Amino acid sequence: MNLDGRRITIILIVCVIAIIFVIRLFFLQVVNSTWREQATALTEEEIPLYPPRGIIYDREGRMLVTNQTVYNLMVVPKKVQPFDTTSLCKLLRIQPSDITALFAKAKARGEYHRPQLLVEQITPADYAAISEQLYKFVGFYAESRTLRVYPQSVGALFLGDVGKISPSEYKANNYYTKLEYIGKSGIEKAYEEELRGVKGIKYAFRDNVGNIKDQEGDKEDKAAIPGIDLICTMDAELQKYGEKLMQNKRGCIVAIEPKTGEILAMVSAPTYDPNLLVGRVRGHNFNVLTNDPQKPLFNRATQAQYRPGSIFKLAQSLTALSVGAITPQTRIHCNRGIIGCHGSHSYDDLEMAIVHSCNPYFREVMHKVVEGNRDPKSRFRDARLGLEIWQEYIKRFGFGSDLHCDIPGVKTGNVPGVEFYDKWYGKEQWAFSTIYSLSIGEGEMLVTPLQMCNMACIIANRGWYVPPHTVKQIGIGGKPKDDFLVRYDLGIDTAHFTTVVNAMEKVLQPGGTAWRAAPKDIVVCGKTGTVQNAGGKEDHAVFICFAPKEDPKIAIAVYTENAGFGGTWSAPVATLLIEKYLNDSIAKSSESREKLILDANFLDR
Amino acid sequence: MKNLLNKLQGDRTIWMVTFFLSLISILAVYSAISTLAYKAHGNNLRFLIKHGLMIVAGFGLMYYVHRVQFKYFARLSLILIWVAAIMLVYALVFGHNLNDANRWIAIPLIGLTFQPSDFAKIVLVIYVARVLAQKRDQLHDFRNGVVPVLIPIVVICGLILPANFSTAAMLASITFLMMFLAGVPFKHMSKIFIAGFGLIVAIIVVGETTGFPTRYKTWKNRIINAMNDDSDGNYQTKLAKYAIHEGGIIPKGPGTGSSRNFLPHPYSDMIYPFIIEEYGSVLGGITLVLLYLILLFRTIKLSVNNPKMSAQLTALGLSFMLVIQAFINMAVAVSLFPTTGQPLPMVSMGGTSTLFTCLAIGIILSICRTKDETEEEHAASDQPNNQVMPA
Repeated sequence: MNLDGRRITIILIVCVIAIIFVIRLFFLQVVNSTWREQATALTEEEIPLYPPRGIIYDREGRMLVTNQTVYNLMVVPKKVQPFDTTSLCKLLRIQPSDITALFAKAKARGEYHRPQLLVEQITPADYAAISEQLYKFVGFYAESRTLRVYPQSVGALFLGDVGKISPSEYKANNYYTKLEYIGKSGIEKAYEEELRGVKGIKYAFRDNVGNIKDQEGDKEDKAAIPGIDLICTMDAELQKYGEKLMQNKRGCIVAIEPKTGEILAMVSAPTYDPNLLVGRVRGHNFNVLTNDPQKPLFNRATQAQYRPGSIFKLAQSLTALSVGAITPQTRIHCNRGIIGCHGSHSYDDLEMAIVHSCNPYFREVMHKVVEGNRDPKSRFRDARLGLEIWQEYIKRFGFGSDLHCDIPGVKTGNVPGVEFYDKWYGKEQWAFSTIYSLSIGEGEMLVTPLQMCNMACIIANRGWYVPPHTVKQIGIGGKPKDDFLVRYDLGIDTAHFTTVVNAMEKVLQPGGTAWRAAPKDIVVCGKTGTVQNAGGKEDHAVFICFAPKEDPKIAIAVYTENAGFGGTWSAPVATLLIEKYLNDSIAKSSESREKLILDANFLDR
Repeated sequence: MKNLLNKLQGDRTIWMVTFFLSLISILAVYSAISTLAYKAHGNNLRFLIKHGLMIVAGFGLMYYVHRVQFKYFARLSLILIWVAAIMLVYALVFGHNLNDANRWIAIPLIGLTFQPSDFAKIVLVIYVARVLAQKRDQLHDFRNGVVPVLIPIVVICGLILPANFSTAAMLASITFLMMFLAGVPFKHMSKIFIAGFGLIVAIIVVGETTGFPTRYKTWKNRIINAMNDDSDGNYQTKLAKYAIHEGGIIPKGPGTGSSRNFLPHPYSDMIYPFIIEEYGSVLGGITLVLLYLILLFRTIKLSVNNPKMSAQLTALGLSFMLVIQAFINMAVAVSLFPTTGQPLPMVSMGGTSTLFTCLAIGIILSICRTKDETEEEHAASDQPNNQVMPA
């Protein structure tokens, strides 16, 4: 029996095995690298570093929104070791069932080894007591977060709020994790990318028992970059005064600096303290506000779509002058047979028709614009052609558009056109007689208060506007977004505006519809509106204005729901704000008006 | 010192290989242990001293054993095979339970534990070598020649199997190899092979239907994981591959291995990838493979000169055992083999298993020593008569 032969066989086999090893080693080191990422994923952990959110100041440098550190108590169920449940629950002021429910939820989701949020937003004072005990509870730890604080307690809807990211927001954006916070409305939402800063990453390794190690890896840690501070366009004092004047009322105020499009104040009443929607009370208060029948969370300034009423006669005048349908000298009989009117006048020219807000006059004005005998055979087809021209002009005022502004969720309103009425009545089934209520800002015309104020800006500027916006400087000393350095020119002759402005001046002079609201020493140009309501409800009071007449500094729209006459209830609000803004104080002569407004209560109407 | 070296008998090469392995062991363990030591309040010298003492004790044992003549081991094995069997039964019934595997027995008073299978491996190899040598003229007769060899193998492997499948399988393979070397005819070898295959099938059938033995699920998972590269269960091997890749050809250097922070057992079962990370694949990986190969080839070369066939077979069996164990450990690390708990002989920090490895090397040295004394006389030239002499 040849033992050597068998020995050689075995030696050969062993050598082959050794060679396989060597090949395998090189294969692992040089050729294959896919598994490397898998191994890295198992051990390397990315710990996000959250930057502080940018601070928001008002145009005078007053701090409106800042941050406060709070602590979230986290737990990794898998790491928890037996602990004194009662003392932990006492410490955190929770029920034992809260913990068991959280653990059950984590288990059901297959997230037993991942951090779970147990108690949210513990204040620094509370955390001080908790932190010294926390070491007793293995698997529990605190994570610091920042919360928004509003030192001035104003402009809740203007500034917006921050809340936990929703599933749809999470899906739409790959920047966030499921436990993060995101701007939900207002500036917080519109400037989310600027305010949030840039998250940093700390790379750490987890060892085989799950502890985090400080470890020099391939990747360098990235520090968090704080969010950019913003200077917003708001004048906090004006905003505060506006909110005060609108107390116990439903409605809104928009105030804009005409030259720049900067929104000085935007009040939606009833309002609320923005600090209510922060921290642990957010959930509860959010429910209360959502269920409030006065809808305080609804931004009436940008989302409410109202019929504009008589203030729309300004746009009608300018349109008619532009298309040549009338001249300033055109006189029309106040024929109250078709449409009602008020006051004593009978045969006004344009200026006086605006001052008196003469309904039959503006019915005829629009009649002249829409029915131009462009198609002699059919007044239906004639109206179609005319309405198209009319719609094009009205849209130039920004009606029917979002005005390119930076406010999330703005509504566009409605400028009904040919298409709209064809759908409503059928093609060639309508003529001017069908749609004439548009002429005085009633009917199917819908505008937002922001658009009304923008119209006031256009008239103040005599023909152009800058898109209304809420942020003046991105970064202290910075510029607004490029969109807000652009002028939109309406292409309407400046001369036409002169007529309208003169008329608006007379509105606040004796005999005008708002003469009682006129402040001393300031020339205010305005227009009242009173929008009728179906069902016997009190009318909406509307007023738009700008001041001073020359080189206007402020344009305002006030809309007070179910208050009555625009000249009585909305005009004083606007003129008081103008006084406040231009003179920084309310004159003695205006105090009775201020008291009248402050005492008024229209909430129950 | 010189005196001691002069007293040192046996093959210098094997001594050197063993010395280098233990040197690597101390360096790698010292570095790898730091995380374990950190958890034990920062004293990593404590672990190093414990491991160092074990190696020193191992060398003492090796030195003592290598001066003993082989015939005494052969005779002792007749008794010790029974001792081994009893210890295995004892471990199965009373042993320390670790992951459902009853592998360990505590030695009273000194606070050490050991695996009786470590002991049984060596005893069985010697015993089988002895029986094979006795029956070498009857090996063509299955009933009278082969069966007496198979009985102790089946009994000992059968006792190891429930707690430690991989050791049982490895030991069966080694004894199978010894039978092959002893000259058991191919027809009998194939019968045994088929029977062994049948046994594995039976284990699978029983395991699937009854869930017994208790470790069946672990075995199955590990094999499935080894075949399925993407499996999440492959946590250990993925990390091992990570460590190997980190090492590369130009290594990071001793003491820098970051895998010790997450690799499970970087000082024992997973020491091979850790060494590669610190020393690179050439200096660490291939050197280790070569050291074990030298041990094997040196044994093959020298054992032939021992006149006793039982001694030759013992030396081959033991060195194969060490090398196969090493290769299995490495194969796990490079994902060529399902995860098993085979340590790297002499290198892993394995407590008492280091002592048993030293015992095995001591016996190999003892067998080779017999020739060592006559080496000069026979010179380097190939002996025409390398045949096995009668015992």
